[in-house]
Amino acid sequence: MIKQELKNNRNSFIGFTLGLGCILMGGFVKFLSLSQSESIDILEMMAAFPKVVLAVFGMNQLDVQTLSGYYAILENYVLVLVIIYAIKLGYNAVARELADHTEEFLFTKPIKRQTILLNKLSVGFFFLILFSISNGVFSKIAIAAYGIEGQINQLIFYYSVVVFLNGLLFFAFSAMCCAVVKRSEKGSTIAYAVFMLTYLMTVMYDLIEKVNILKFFVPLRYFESIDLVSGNFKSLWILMFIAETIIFVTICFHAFIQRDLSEN
Amino acid sequence: MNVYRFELKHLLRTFLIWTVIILVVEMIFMVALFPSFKESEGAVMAVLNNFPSQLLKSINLEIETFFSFKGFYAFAYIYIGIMAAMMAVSLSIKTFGHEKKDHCQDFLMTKPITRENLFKVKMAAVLSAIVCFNIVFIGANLWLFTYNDAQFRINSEFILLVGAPFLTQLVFLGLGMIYATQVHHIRNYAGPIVSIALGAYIITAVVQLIEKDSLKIIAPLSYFDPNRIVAQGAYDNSSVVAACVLTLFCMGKSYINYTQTEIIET
Repeated sequence: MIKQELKNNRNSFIGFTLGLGCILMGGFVKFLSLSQSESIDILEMMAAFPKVVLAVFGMNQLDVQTLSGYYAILENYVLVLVIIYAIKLGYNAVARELADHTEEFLFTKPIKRQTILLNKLSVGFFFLILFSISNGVFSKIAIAAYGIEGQINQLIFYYSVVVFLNGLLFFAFSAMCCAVVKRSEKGSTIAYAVFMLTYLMTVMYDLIEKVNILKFFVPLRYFESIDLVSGNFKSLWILMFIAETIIFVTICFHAFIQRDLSEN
Repeated sequence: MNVYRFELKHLLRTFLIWTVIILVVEMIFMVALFPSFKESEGAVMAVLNNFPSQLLKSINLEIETFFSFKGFYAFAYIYIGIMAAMMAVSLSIKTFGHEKKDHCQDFLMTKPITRENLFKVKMAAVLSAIVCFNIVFIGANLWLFTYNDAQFRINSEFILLVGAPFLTQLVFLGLGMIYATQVHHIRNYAGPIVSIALGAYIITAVVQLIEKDSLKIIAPLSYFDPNRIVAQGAYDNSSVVAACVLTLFCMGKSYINYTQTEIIET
């Protein structure tokens, strides 16, 4: 069964990893010319500006002229990508069989529902790990391929972890949504809607000064790029991710086991 | 006419939800954020005046447009644009794909109406939804611009600025259609909608980051980039051509798909 699941998810994994590769390999093309041009320390002077001004400048407290700042900007897009992917995985794990009307066949097999869900979720988990590893690998390759000077191994590692954690969180969330609602396709709609909402809040979080209370609702900013770039990895937020993930998975199991198989 | 009415009714909820979301987000940007942005102008100017003038030239900064209402609109457009795109994809996938998703294509196709006509009617339904949205959107912006500046008069720049979402939506309408008519299964709507729109967003952002003009033709969200309108008062010609080609291709291909594909029940 795990094999079957691996096969089902293979194509979309290849697609998303290609997207990842394009972002990283394509993104670094520009950095070459940037780093060669004479670097001006505008950032320090601009530190006094309000966040919203910086955002309109397209800067967001990061120095695009340094490798780490540039990398952090690219990784922000990778985060969006991994979350879309994770929601898709969550949907595939819980609801795909239902949409294809094949769940009845699966459930008549002599396997417990827990085991079914466990297997399916672990396949998604596996793909997420694979995805974040490829993130690290592609980053290394891109930097090596363009012969960019500078060491950011630690940052690459941090970002791979952050990509994984965000993916995991939304994976669990999407699985939960699909398991809880009656019509499974609604589940993924809700999961995507919630993601769009958090993304919007992330944008607001970036624009408005002093809205610390918002931080709890924006997983994308649990680890702020500025902290990561300066090597300040706040491990406490990992617990936050794990706690939320566990809650979602528990609810998901609970709902999945009790689900009624009636045709919709 | 029956089909047209049916499709419109089918789209009504999506249409309303998206219209409200987009307008609310625009209000947040233009009514809630813009004043505080404007307030910081003095402080920022004080710092910028200390910069060497060459440096200012090199980062290509026009302070007046930067702090203007339209400048901020161009900034907010990044987000409004994605949402408008998402709305268009969602409307078109829902119109052209819902029979496929509910496995009831065969019922529709056995009705005494040719597929060509069906396609045209469905197309008319989505287009009217999009036109309605844009009338509301342009009206809201007209109000916002006049509210901000009582002297404001409609000029070509304003028309280009508020026309950008409409043209972008046409491109994404095509993308949604080609998706809906090309794939065999549609399991859910949300996945493809979000993937197409955010995929386009990521491509556009990366293309803008690496500043390669030649790549602009693959960045669908910057085809009608308001920043360019604010700076130069016109759309980028090559982008407009790319947008037209892409849209016409998608619509043509969808037409062929829709009228000729065999219906396979799986």
